[in-house]
Amino acid sequence: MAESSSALTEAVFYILLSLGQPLHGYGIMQRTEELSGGRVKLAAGTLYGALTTLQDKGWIEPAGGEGRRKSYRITPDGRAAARAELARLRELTHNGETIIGGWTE
Amino acid sequence: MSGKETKTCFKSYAAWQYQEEEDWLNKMASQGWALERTNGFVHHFRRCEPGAWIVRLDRPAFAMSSPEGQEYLAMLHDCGAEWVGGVNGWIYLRRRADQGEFSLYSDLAGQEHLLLRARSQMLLALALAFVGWLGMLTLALCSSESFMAIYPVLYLSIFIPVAYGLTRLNRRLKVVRRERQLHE
Repeated sequence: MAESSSALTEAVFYILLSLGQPLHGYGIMQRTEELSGGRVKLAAGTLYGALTTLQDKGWIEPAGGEGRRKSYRITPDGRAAARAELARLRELTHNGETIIGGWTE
Repeated sequence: MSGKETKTCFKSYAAWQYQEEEDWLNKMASQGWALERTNGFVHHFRRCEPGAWIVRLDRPAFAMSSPEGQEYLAMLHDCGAEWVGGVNGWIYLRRRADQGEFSLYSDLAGQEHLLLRARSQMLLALALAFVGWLGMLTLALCSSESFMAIYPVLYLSIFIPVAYGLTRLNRRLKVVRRERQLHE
């Protein structure tokens, strides 16, 4: 389970979203860029560090690979973490729309 | 194209100057000299279109010969980056500028970790220098020659640049950490 309710980084959230199907590092970068409409470009160092941490937490797992390229996929714990983050984002959006939407200047 | 096609420069930077070193290598690229091979001191360049390459330095948390390093290299290769050399845990990478902006850390956490790894390297160097200084001090104290006393004093000058470098790294760490309180 996701043991903490603190916010996930944007990189981590997009990595989890990308790994509904097994992908290797570069595939994750491409998928993230595609999902975010080109806004989020994961750099290799950032991605590699996040993949290591996510594996240690058991949120993703290796899914084979060819040669030096390892593929990864999301685990049930990873899905739980992504769902928890989505709930947090919904709360943020709701509060933001309610309060900011009421601002007149 | 006329003139020399290759050039070799001898230049060394300390661990806390990795940003300055990266800036110099990119300035060389903007002047039409692409870094082709380096060991951190001897830099070999080849003529290129001005600004055709972007160079980045990195200090991964693992050895590049390890499985982690090999996987990281494969990822960099997939992104179009080329490994052009390495020294003391630092690696030199380049990518063609027409492939777009080339950065290795797209988040502040990654930038902070790189600074921390550079600082750890400096602290280790400082510890080794201190052991060397203690050895020299012991020799000076045990020696009957009074001129031996000058060596430990001279040796102390090694600590000045290291202390300066640590201060600069700590200042940059503080900036990144402050920024992390606001942004990712």
